[in-house]
Amino acid sequence: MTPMTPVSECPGIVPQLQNIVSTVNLACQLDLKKIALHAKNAEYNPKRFAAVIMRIREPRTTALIFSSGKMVCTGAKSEEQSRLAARKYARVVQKLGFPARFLDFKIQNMVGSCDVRFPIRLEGLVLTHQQFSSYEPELFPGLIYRMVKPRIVLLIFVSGKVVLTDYVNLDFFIGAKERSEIYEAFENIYPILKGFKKT
Amino acid sequence: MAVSKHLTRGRKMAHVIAACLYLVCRTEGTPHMLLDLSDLLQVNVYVLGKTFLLLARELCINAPAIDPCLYIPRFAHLLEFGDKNHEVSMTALRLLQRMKRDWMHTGRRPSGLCGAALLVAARMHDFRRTVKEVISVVKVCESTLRKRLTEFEDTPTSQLTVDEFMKIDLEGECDPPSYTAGQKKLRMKQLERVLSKQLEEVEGEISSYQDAIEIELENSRPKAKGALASLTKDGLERMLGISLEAEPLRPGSPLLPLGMRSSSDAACGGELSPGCAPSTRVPAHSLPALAGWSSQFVHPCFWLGAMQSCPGASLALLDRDRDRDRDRDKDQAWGSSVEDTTSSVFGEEDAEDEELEAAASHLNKDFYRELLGGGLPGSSEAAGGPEGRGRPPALESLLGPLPTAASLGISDSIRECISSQSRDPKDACGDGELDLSGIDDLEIDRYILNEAEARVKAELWTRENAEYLREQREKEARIAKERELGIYKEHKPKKSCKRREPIQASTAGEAIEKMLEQKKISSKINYSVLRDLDSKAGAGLPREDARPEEQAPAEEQAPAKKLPRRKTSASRSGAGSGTSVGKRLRPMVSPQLAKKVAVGEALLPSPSSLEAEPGGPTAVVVESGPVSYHPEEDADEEDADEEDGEPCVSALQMMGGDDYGCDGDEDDGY
Repeated sequence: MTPMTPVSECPGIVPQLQNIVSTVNLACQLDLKKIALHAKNAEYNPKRFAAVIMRIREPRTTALIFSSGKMVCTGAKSEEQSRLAARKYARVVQKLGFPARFLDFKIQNMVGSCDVRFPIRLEGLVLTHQQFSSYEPELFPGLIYRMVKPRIVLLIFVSGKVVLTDYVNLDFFIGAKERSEIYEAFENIYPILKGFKKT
Repeated sequence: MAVSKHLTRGRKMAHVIAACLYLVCRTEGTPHMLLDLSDLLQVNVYVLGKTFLLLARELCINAPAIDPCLYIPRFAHLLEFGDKNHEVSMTALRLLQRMKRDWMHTGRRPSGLCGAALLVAARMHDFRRTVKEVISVVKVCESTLRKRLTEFEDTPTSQLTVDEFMKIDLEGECDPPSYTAGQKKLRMKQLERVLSKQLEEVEGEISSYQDAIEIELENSRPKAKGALASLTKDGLERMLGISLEAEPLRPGSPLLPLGMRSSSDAACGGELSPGCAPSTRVPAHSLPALAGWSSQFVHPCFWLGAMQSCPGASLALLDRDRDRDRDRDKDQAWGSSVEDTTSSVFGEEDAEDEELEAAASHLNKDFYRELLGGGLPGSSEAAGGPEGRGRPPALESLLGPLPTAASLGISDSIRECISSQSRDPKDACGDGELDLSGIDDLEIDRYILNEAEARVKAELWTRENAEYLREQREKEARIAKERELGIYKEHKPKKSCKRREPIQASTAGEAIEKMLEQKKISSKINYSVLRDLDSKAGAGLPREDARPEEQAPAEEQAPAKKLPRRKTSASRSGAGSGTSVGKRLRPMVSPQLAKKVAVGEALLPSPSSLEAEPGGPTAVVVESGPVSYHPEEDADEEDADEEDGEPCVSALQMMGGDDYGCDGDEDDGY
């Protein structure tokens, strides 16, 4: 349903993945206090948040580990890295004495960004694509474009930078799970943006 | 409509109302800002904005983008330009249009632009309006206004005189400021990359320089003052060892300086990193001297590591800088310049590798700059020291978020962890169980504290969270006690949902009374009149404006609002509106309400004592469906509405005949 202009361009600009959020189930109850006290890179502040925040350096990621055994891993720049990082966290937990497993590893969200290198006329874009775009300068300087297929939300800024992700404001938690979706979305939006290029 | 799409659930009523109101404002083009509404409601404008966006999206209403020109008359009026109001407004408008052509307005708050335009216009017409006055009217921050003015200054239009501006319109258009800033950053990055590449090329000269440095340091050693001179190379080593242990919590934090400077340098300022203090073994009197090195310096380990990792680069830089800086006053100048460079470097950099290298090279340059030059006693020792020691922490390890445990003086683990960063993670293929391939056990072990460390951390953590733990214990004690007494209630803090029983009443009037009693509504309600409702005493109907729980004042103002009244009258007409209706009415009522009323009625053995006055637009109301009830009641409602002669009638008519297809089923939870 995206209005597409039949041009095949995208002159070599590829969106870079910036962040990947994934979840995994370690399938065992965890004693957060024990983990926090025996792990080097762990923070635990029960008053503020009910999870241990652990970080590893390679790949550079942060994980939230909950007492139910569920874990959220963020900060990786690729799917493989995210998986590796999650496994490392699981291994740490294992070594601390819990029977951790590695069930249901799932990538929840991917964020990519790129630069089209020309200024974009956001007002024009919101006029012609109003069923997809929402532009509220009072609230946020970028235009929020909700592409239907693939279901991706793009934040388009006047400077030509575009951020692609799958949810904004946590309205719905489904969307880009595949890197290809992000690329596809960018390829869809690029001709449209070119149409609103500042002369 | 909002209610029909269940958008009011989980949201504050007031928010939804304000959002609808704002939507209308936008479509009409009135100069009302979302900020005004949020001011009125005393909520965060972004929260309101979120509701507004959601509403607009769900209702598929796309409000046209706000034009800053709309705000000019409003603000101009507030700024009180007197006779010249119109002229100033015109000028401001022209300015705004120019800004638009210069792409300054995209993505910016219209009020900020207005403010800037008005300020300039006022000055052009010889009105002295200060920035403060303008911002109090326009409601933006002073820095925002200044920024807009600066951006405008950057455009060629700003160079025109007043008269020229009024007559001429420059042809060229500027790029949006964010775009130009982005381009500049890109260029800077490229420059840095080129620079770092060049540095690496000079790698070969390192060793000779290293020797040269050592010699110089040896020479300058005798100049060390007494207290400092006591710090031998060993002392330095120990100190370095300390600094190694006491790693910084984040780059740029004030750290234990490597070198020892004369006490005069203590004036440079800077503080010791807290973690260093307890673990240091350096004699106390030299600590201030140490502190004086530079407050902005990165950890010496960093230098070490950086040195090791790109020694060539650093020394090359060093060479250049040495020539440059030789004549400079060593102490103060170096300290400050280094601080500047370091801070700037750290300000911009993130953990990307190429930037890290560039940063490292910068820092090394500074480090060496400090080392060099004979006037630095002890610094020589410091420099001499680190070179020999090969403990190259990788940059990432130091710049990344390091654990607090580090400050506990866990030297061994840290040394281990920093020594091997380059493990290539092999590709993994996972399955249900944890697949260990590609995970280096040693690396994992490094993330685990040993006994002693764990104890220390436990102690610290317990101290930190003492309050929380105490609260937990008290809570448990309380629960245990209550359990014993048998009165323990789960989820005590939650408000207990009072499930009232449906009112048993023989007449609608009685029902109303009972309900009102239960609800403890305002005493302004004239009960006797209510009782006469069924006999259609329209005139004397008491205004139930004072129903606090059910209405926000804002409601009544909006013509576009769905029937706030309707609800009131609905409950008034009682139709036996049981507690359910009375309690749970929502402002964004649709014809659903009527059905709700009907449903409520169904609960009660409400008689049809209410005279059915089938008149009135009943089209809206009756949906035969699950609602067992009678058109009459609804008709009555409508009549009541009409009699009130309130705007809600028009709204009713607006919705009249519009069947939203909602069934009683959808009255979830009612």
